[in-house]
Amino acid sequence: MIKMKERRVGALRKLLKVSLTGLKKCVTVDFPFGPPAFVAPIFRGQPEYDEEKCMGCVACSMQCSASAIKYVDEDGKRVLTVYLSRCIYCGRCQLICPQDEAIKLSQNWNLVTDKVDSVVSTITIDLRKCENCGTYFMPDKQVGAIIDRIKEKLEDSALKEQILHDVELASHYCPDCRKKLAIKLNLHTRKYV
Amino acid sequence: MGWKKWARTRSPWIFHAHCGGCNGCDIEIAAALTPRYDVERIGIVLTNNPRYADIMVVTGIVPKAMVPVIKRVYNQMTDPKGVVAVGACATTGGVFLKDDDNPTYTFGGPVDKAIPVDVYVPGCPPKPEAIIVGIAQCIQKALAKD
Repeated sequence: MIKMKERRVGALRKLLKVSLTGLKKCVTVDFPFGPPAFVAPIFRGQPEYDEEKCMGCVACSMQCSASAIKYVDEDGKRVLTVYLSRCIYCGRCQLICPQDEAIKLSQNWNLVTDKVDSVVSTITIDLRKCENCGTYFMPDKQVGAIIDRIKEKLEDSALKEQILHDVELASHYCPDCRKKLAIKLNLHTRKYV
Repeated sequence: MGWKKWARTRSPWIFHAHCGGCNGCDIEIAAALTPRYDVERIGIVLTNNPRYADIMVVTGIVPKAMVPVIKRVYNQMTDPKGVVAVGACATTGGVFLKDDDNPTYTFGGPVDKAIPVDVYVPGCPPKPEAIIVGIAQCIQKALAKD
């Protein structure tokens, strides 16, 4: 008898629940016609370069697990390209970037296309010209960043000015010319001893 | 506009071909079909027979063993027909084609080497919204012809 009563209460509760579901908010998203799609704050979308921060060291290209990031050195410019149809949005490029997130995964998810290689994000960086032989050897900004880092490490050194002078001198020549001109420019480290 | 074209563009039937994927893209397609994104409200219906289908949705890297199968399925579909490649593997090969000359040994090329593809949906996996946008573009491109 008690069981029957419990059952009746349960059934009533169910009936109430079902009849009230109509008042709840609809689960279905009115996507193509309604408001723009919901994107979670941690969503990893199209990787984008920061023009000011990026120095063109291609660490992202070496770290890319799908080899989606490729670079070409031409006419004194280095062009880095992310082929987004290849990218798997793992975020390793953002993680490895020595600058503070010069490449960052944005919230852009709409990359639908009918040509595979047309969806890319690119950046162009100036290369430094060797003053002796005229070849382009390294991005300008990367040289600056290296010198800045050396300055940080040399805070209390007695030979600070001498070392910085040498680094500044050597930074204008490509690695081959640096070897050739080492004696002429007096770049060898034995003078510090 | 003839009534056939009107019916085709308003309610395309899709066939889901799974070609050696990791199931990530397949789950996103399932998410697009289930109540949250419910594509049946805009007329897109999933069918399990390629002869009834207007659009084929392909996921995965397409292994060598699947190449003749997917070609046969494509030929079974009636004209006009469209193909949507979903995911990084289907569009270009993704991580399985890291070196262009030396892919993994089961790799049969991305989908566009086996059959002509109309729309690519990059992403690993793409959002269900992106899949819906891709199917909508495929309708415009492949099915809106006379």
